[in-house]
Order: sequence, then structure tokens, then C-alpha cells
Amino acid sequence: MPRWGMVIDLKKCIGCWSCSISCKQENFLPPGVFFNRVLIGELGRYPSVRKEMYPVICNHCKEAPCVKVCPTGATKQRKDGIVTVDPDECMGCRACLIACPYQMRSFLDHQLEKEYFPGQGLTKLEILGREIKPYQAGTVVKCDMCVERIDQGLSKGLKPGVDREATPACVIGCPTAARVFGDLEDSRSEVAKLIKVRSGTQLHSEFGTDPSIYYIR
Amino acid sequence: MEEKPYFRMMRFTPQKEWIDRKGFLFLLAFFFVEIGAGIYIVSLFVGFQLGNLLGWLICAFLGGGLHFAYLGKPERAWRAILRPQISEISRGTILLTIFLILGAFQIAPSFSFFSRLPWSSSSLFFKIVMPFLSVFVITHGFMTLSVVSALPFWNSATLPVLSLASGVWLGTQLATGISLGVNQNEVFVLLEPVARWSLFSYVFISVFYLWNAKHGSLAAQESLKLLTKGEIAPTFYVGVILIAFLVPAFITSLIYGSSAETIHQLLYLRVGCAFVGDLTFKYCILKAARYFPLIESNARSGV
Repeated sequence: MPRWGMVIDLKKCIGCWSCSISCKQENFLPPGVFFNRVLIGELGRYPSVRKEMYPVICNHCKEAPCVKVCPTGATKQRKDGIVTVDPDECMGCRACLIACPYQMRSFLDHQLEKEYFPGQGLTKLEILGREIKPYQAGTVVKCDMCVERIDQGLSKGLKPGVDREATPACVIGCPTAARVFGDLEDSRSEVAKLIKVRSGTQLHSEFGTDPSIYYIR
Repeated sequence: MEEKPYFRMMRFTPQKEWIDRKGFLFLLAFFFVEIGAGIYIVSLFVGFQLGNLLGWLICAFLGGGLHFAYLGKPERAWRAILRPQISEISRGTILLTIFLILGAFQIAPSFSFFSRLPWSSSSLFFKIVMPFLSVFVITHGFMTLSVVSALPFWNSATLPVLSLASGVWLGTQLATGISLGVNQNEVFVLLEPVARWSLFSYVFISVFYLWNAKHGSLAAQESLKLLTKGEIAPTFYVGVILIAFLVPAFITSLIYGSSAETIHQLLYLRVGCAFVGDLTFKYCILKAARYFPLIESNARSGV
């Protein structure tokens, strides 16, 4: 059974936010809701200051604290490691949101009433999004690694991480190919090789969550 | 000012979902469930049936009702019982439900309408089971917080113990206040020794909890700094140190050995201080909790 994961090359990331925009487009996210973010950190003091771009998404942790606290079972972890939220089962207690040490979840409330261009009506994309992905107010949402693309791709015999159709939108959207997607359990996969050769690290591994997202420098 | 998305989690970030705006209902829900079960357990031991009834009503309608009001989808609240094997919220919901059902059965014979029921409120079954259930219900709220390892200020084994101490302390105070109001002064006589010890335990465990945070992780220390020197400090010093601890302790020492008839005003003042002080303390605990920053940056140190 594969364990889907991602490697993000911090040397290649230029902080363009294409991953975030691709994700918003793919998931028709309302204003103010982000599944992907790029944190921009400044380190050092003048004149020796350097900037670091740090893309962050849901880590789809192997020991996901959000799964453990969910009382309704809406937050589930698949056998391939992807953590999803079933909007029809979520009661909106936000325990998962509190429990996530990376704070990569969003509670949908007033955001669904907002438009991207206030006063100018909904764009065609927004209208389409409200039909295809009717988000429910009062529930929690998060990145699901474009699980529909992965599942549909696999059913067509495509390979996630190699074939674009079966790969998460943020990976395809990156102009510098800073993101690589694949099976962490397969030692021949690109992600596994990168982690081994370039000493991939996890974000705050001391939390004990065993994230599926690795970073290389 | 709204936080920019590229800046999120760059500092020690506060949790907001369970304290800000609608999250305040969550704090109140925890608070009322705790004091409702607190009055219930205290009233069990002194045979104060009105206290049992009021404790049950507070748990069911204030505590339960506020929980419902907070949820994003309250119509799905029944789903909260589905995962007791791993979710503390699930376990707490089941125990609270059992507490309310058995509590109703225990209280019912007190009413003349139900006087023909084949059991009495003082049956051995209730005497054994209800105290345990009350303890679980009192500690459920802070137990839910203590399992959240993402917030080191909450992730302490001391928190449920603190909850038990505050539940019993508030229970004695509210039961005392109610009994004085209905001229059942003998309840005060029975409860006052319990009140003294529960106040002492409450203060001691609170200090121990905060001392624990001082020697905990950076995020816990940051939370403590906010309480003692930061934006929450005025609330903490006035609401907790003064109103929750010092004033009740002073009143308790003043009234030592006095009869209830001569010290009504002081007792009511102590009840009010206990209520306001404990709510403030819980507010401070929820408000001060901080997440670790995600990455190293100058923002973390405020540069």
C-alpha cells in the first residue's frame, strides 16, 4: 500500500504563491481560506539578513492528532495516509482545528458569503465552484492532497507524481518544480530518493506526528 | 488587523476557536457543566436535594445548551458519541448523557408526581454510581484540553485535577449560597469544612499548574509570560489572584467558627467571588494558550 507524500525543495521555491493559487482554483476555495500557504521568514540582522520561503500545507501526518480527537469520525485517515474530512459528518466542534500543531485547517463560516470581487457579482469560476464543491458552512475543511485526482488517475492506470492528471494541483502549478509527489514507501520513487540523498526533514518532527511532507535544502 | 496568510504561525500563535467570538460559548459550556456536576456531587454528600436538581438543570440546559449553540452543525451533535475509543470528546459526551439520564432517575422520586416510583433518591445504586459520574463530568472539559499536545499550556496532567478541585470548590459555594437562600443553614455547617479544604486544594493545584508551565516547553512559558506580564496580566491578577484566591481565602479565615446567620453577606460575597474568579481563570487558561511557531524567523522574537 503506498503512502503518498511530498518533498518540497526550499532552494527552488521562489515564493510566487502559484501553489496556493492552483490549489484555490482546483478546490474553488472561498476568500480567506487557504490549503496552501507560503510563509516568508526573515532571519538575521542588518546587513546579514536572509529571506526564506517556506510553503506549508496539511502534512497528512501518519500519527495525525486531528484524527484522534474527532468525535464523529468525519476526519479519517485512508490506508494510503491521506487525511480527509467528510463534510456530511462534521459537526463543527473544531477540536481537529485546535489539535493540529501546524494549524492547517479552516472552519467555514462567514467566508462562504464573501465574493472575490465584492459588489461585482460572482465570477464564472465562483459560480462553477458553488455547484461542483458546495462547501457547508459550520464545517471544517483542509487539504486532501487532491484525492479525487489521485483516485481517478489510479483508476485510469496513471501514476500520481508522474502523470499530471493524477498529481495534486499544487505540484503541477509550481513553475520551478520545487514540489515532488510520490510514494514514500517506494524506495525507487523520486520522493524517497530525494529524502535519502538530500536529507529531507519534516516540519517539527519533535511533535511526534510523522508528517508526509518533507523539506530539502 | 487580520493576519496576513504568509505570516500565520510565524510567532507563538494564540488559539482562537475556543475563546474568541462564538468560542466564548464553548468556555461557558465547559464552565457550567463543571459547576453543575460540582453542585451535584456536593449535594449528594449532604443530602441537599434542591442542589441536586439545580446541578442537573445547570448541566443539562446551560452546559448542554451552550455546547449546542457553539457547534457549527448542532443537528449532527448525536454523532459525538461515535468514537469513544479514541476521542475524549466522544467519551465525555457519553458520560454526560449517562449522568443526565441517571441523574434524572435519581431526582425524580423527590417530586410528588413521581413518588410512586419503585426506587428512592438515596438508593445504594445512585449513591455509588452518581459520585463517580459526577467526577468524570466535572473533569471532562479540562480533560479534553489536556489531550491537545499542540498547545503545551493545556497539555498537562494537572489540568483535570485542577478542574476537579475547582468543581468541588464551586459546588460547595453554590450549594451554600442556594441553601442560605432557602433557609437551610445546616447545609452550610456540613459544607464549610469541605469548602475550606477545597479552596486550599484549588489554590495549591492552580499554583502547581502554573509552576509546571514555567518549567515546561517554550510555548508553555510564553503562555505563562502572557498571564503574568503580557496582555492578559491585568485580568489574571485582578480576576484570578485577587477575586478567585485572595478574597475567598480572607473571607474563609474571617468566618471561621461563625454561624451562618451572622455572616450571610460575607458568604454571598464569597460565592460571587468563586463564580467570577473561576470563570476568569478558565478564560485566562484558554486565552493564554499558544502554538509553537512553524519556522524560525525574526518575527518569533518580535524583531
